[in-house]
Amino acid sequence: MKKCLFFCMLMILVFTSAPISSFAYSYGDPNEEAVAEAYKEMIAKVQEKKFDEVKAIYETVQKEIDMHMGPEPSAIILEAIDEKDGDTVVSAMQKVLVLNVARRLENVEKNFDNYDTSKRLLAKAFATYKALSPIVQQKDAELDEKLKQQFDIALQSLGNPGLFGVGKKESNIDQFKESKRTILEALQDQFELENIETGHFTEEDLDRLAAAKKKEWTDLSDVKNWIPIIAIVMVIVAVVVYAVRKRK
Amino acid sequence: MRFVSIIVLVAIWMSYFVYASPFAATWDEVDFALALERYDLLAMQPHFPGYPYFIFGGMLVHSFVDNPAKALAIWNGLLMISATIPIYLLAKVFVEKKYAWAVTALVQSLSYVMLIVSQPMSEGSALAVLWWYVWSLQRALHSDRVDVQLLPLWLFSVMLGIRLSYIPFGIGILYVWWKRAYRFKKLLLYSLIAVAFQFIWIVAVAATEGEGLWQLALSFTAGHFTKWGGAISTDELPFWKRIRILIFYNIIWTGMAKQSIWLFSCFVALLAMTWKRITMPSLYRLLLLTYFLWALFAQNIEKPRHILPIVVIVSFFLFVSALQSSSRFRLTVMLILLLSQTIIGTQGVKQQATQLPATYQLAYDFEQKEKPFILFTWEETRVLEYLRVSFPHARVFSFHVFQREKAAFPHAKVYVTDHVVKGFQAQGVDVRPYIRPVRMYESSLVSDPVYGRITVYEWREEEKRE
Repeated sequence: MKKCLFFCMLMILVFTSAPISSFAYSYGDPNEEAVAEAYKEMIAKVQEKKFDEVKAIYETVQKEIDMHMGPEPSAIILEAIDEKDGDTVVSAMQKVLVLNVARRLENVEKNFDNYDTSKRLLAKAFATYKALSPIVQQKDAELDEKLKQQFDIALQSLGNPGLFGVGKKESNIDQFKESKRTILEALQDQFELENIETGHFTEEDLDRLAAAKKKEWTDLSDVKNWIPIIAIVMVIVAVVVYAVRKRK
Repeated sequence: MRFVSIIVLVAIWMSYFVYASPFAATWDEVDFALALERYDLLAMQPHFPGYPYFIFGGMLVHSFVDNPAKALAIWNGLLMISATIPIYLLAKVFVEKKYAWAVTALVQSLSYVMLIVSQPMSEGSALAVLWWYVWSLQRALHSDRVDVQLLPLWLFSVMLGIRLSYIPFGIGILYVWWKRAYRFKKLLLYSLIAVAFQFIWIVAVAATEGEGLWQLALSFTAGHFTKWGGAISTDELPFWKRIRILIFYNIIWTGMAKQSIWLFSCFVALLAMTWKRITMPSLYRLLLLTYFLWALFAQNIEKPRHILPIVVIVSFFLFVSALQSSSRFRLTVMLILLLSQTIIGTQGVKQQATQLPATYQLAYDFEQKEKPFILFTWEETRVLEYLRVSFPHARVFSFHVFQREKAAFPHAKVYVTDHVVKGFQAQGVDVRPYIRPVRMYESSLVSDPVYGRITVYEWREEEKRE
């Protein structure tokens, strides 16, 4: 009986180190998009007229923006921040978000056969759109509804491997292109962009994407993140060794 | 008694089809319902770790039943009906054969169990497989046959593939191995087989999710660890109070009595009669103790459904003990309990399937409201998304984020639900000057203890400046 209790205690130790709470799965949301999050932070700070903080937030994503959308957006935004021109900052950032949607959708098309990647990129495009959605909605609620539907259709067009072979769906690139065109044309129109050809897509972009993925999620190279797993494995090994010893 | 028991069982089985809940009224239920249309862990349909056997069964039923929530609830019902077999076989081990059907019917008619089985949640399926698993352990204790030894390992994999949080029941396998005093080589072999069985569902999920699964798993695990000792402690109850809630409120009052005074009295009477006679073999005591501690420390105490395994096993042995030596009086009490449970349980599932859940009421009511406005919620937002409402809504936990999100809607009215308000209060924000109650939505708090009652407030900031 003693041994049983010991087992129990160890098991409990293992389990309690991973509590399952109702919000657990909201952690480490891989669908979040850095540029969109920065935009949301920035408009809040602009309203409070804290331009120093606006600048600090912008700088966290500036590199990414420069790389994919060229130097113009940063020039405009940083100047507006210096002049404490909130409206320009916000509208320029909105344009950046549109460009970001374009860039993500472009990459979905390039990685179309790679379900794993394309799905993630589409989620990021949608996360970006969600930041813009309130503005579209206030101007034209129907259009907002339509765009959300288009994102849904785009997701369907990627196909799905199903579960144990059930629910399997083939991908459909034409359908995706159609949705992409609808979304981008509408956004271009709404946010008055002359051109959404971001044009900076090279192989290097995909490499960068892979590198960025590491940072966005749990960083495997960080030793600290391995501690929980190692701890669990060690306890399990300890239990097994203990049990075997006892038996002998 | 046997005749009545079988009639009752058939009635319960019917109710699983007729009153399977058609509503996906909570965050988790929406996750599961959406998964039937598109299985996609990244989009949280369902959330990690994937619940593959539960969703798979739901998909099969979904080809006949159009409503995804209902399909899942019916799948739960089907598995629960199949669990009649192991319950009956186990009952036969502990009571005379003529009373085995009575025990089976009593366990199957536990009202709260019926209620949970009729919801599109993985608990119902997991509970059914738990019966199969426990029965296979009981057999494995007394047999050296390889297939008898392998069965619990396989069923354990099926169970975890439905609900990972039933993992503490793995202790049962260890107990069997320990009791049978296996040598090291055999232990190693069985352990490997057990792990291999688990990989069936893990690989199936991995196949649909690709390499992303491992990162999803890691961020999920890491999320737990960063949360442990952090935000969780804000509403952490004192330890003794937690135990009290778990035993009295969750297990006895909700789990066994389904919050009905009549059923509670029946159980008290039953307990009074059998008090001195209650026996439980050590395998079951071990299972209960392990799961109890797990529920105490690692499960959300706000949701009584998490302790269902304890309820069913304790009830089983309570019934078994009562029927071990029979008197006319005791049989009468059992019969009354059986009929009461069945009637109250059936009424419960009927109400659950026909009454609009509070989250649905909220969605439909706000659909009528004059725009522009935005509604801030906690988990209710997932249901609003599922119902495809046309107004803007968002989930918000921290006051900081609330202010930020609100900034995107400068001219809209702002509504918040009571969960948001309580969250802000816990963060030390004085919300009283800003909020004004608008309306309350109510459905059953037994069906949904967290979002069964929702109060909506309007949030006004101008008044402060005046």
